[in-house]
Amino acid sequence: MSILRRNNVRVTGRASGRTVVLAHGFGCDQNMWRLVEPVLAENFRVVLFDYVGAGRSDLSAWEEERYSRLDGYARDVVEVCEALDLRDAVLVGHSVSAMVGVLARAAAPERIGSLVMVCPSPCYIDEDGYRGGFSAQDIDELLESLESNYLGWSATMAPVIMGNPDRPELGEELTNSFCATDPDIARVFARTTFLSDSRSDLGAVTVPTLILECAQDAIAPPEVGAYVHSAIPGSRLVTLDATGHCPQLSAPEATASAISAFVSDLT
Amino acid sequence: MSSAAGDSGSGRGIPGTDAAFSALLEDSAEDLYESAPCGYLSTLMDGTIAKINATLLGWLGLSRDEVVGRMSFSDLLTVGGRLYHETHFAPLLRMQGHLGGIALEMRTAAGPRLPVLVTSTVKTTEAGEPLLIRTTVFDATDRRAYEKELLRARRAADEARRQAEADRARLREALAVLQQSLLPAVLPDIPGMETASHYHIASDVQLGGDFYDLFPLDDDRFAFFLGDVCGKGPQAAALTSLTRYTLRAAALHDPDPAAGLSVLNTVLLDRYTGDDPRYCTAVAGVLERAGDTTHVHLASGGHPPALVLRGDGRVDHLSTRGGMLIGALPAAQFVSVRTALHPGDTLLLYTDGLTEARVGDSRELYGDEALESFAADLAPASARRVIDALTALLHGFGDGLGDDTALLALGLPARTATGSETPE
Amino acid sequence: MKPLTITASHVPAGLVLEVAGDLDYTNAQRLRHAAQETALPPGRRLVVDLSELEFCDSSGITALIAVRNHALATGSEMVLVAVPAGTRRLLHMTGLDQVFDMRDDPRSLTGR
Repeated sequence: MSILRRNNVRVTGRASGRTVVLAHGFGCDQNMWRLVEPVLAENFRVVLFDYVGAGRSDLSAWEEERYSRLDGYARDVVEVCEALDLRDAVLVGHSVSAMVGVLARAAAPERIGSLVMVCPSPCYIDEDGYRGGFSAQDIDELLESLESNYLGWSATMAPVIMGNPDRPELGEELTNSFCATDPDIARVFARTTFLSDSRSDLGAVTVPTLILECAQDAIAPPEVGAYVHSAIPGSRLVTLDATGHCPQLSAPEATASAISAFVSDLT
Repeated sequence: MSSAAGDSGSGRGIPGTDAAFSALLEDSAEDLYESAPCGYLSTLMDGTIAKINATLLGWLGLSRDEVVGRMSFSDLLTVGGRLYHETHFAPLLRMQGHLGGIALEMRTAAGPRLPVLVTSTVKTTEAGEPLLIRTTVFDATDRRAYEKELLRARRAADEARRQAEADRARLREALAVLQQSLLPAVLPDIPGMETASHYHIASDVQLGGDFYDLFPLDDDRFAFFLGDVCGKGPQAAALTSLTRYTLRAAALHDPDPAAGLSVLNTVLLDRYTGDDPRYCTAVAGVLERAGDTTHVHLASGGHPPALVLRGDGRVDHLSTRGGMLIGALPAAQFVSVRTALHPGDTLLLYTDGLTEARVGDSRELYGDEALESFAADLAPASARRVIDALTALLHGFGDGLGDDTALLALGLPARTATGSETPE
Repeated sequence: MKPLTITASHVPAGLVLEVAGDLDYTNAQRLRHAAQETALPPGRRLVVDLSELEFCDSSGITALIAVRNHALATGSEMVLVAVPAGTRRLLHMTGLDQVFDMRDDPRSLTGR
């Protein structure tokens, strides 16, 4: 199976524009970018994809060993870039994908020329002198939440969404994102995301980097944005007037214009 | 609907009904909101709580002043629940405008966690701009306890299944090792002779009872045997083991194959007495080389006849009719036969898994005659070719081949055209 | 697969066991038990009627041998009647046709 099929790759926007790859984080799929993508598509060539195990990717390609490490997700990014033969692309990574982007760039420097890190966190767990915002026990609680929602999900969610006749795409979307997420796959992704520590990788980032954080992020405390900013020499930090962990949904215009401004500034 | 309500009020004429109904109608929307049997809250799009009902405040042990305008919805959740909310709930709600039946846990002021089921809807302006989020919260303590039990049971079942699969794999492995131990690892090299064998295992969880062996007696003579014990499973394997070592020891002591079968008969009768008779069928023999010719002396006890595929294309079947089942009767008779193998001849021994296979739509027995004509089509053929062809035949039987099957072929290579003697 | 049925009936000459259906690995034990449960006085005859036997494998043959051993041990004789072709072939192959008393017509033996 081709990589483009495997990762459900979609390419939109201006073919002559600079290529912007949008990488989703834990919990959803490329639909996370639906409000930002049309704005970016006006000026850039936009690449969307789902990690193997998420959305409409080929679930049969999922291997626990590979996707238990951020490297495995970075390989997905690199393989997508190779399949499209991208050069000097801008990789926009949300949440855990911000760190995946750092690893992917290190693995394929000629393909990825700059990074946008949306609500990044190199380490979610508090550790002497570093504040990530969570304890290991909190992460166990999240895994429990995943599990209890798996039980009621298909039965409760599907009819609610399906009963939305004026927006039939929602039912399909849900079925193909959350509903279809194998709970075992979600658990592995959650563990990999929240137990990773990529702080030591930040110093190696030498490409132009934009860090986008929310004024109030329930997942990444403000210290984290500052930490990433100081760890990456020459990076630009923009604090969006938004709350939550998903500014691409809660403040799509601000998010899109911050990304556009950064990309347009690239030489 | 309104006329139906009116009918029920006046039509039934029960005293007091009207008064009760009026009291019901006085249940104001405001009171219903505050004291509803579920929690209500409304938040701004950034999550800040703008309105919350008394029921939910009571559950959480919080006052309105502490909450409204000060806390956001995710502040009410446990940390794990907050992570789940931020990564799943909030994005989906943004995308879909509605979300129901999400299991979360809330923190109460008193300490214990409150398992809840949450449903949220985004209220929009007429222009479609999101305005606020309305959320209902149901106490799911009982349901969560039940679900936890379900999950626990499912995990236990998964674990039991994994364990059973692992046990089965170990058993299969142990059986394969045991089965192999009942067969020679490799056939010995016999100067001037080509040998080949095949063992078809019908079940990987059930030991079969076929066996064969080939071993030197002295410089010029080799002994061989092939047979089939009754039954399957561990008892059959034990019987196979006893049979094999008895035949081997007997052959070293007295090379007459009929004598070896008699010894085995005595041993089995002695070992398996009373109402649990255990027997086998076997053909045993000795090969003795004399120049270009190898003399074969074999004896059979209840076993299908051996075949010889001659170098000239004929097939002989070495009848040992009258040879009896071994281990069944004290006075059992065994029948001997002699033949000679010349270059190009191949002796074939087989167990009845081959001839008792069911073939075709009518599930007919494959049978002795079909085997003989198969051999006739094949002859002349080397030992290797005979075994390869029969292995393919067995394979073609598919599930019609219900039993273990052992094949052993011993052949003298044909002289090539460049050889010292030229046939014809 | 036809289920195995074993019907015992007493006749003046002894006992008749009618064995019908499939006699194989899974149920051969039942025939042996049926024979053991019959206390036949010495000198009487045990007739095993196989006219309705559909299938018999090597385990079935084992059971027949066990029944014969039991009969001989109690001083009675055992006769097989109406042996179907497939079973007859098995008995020939294993040399047991020389051991079992096989007859075609049950009536002369059972006096029915």
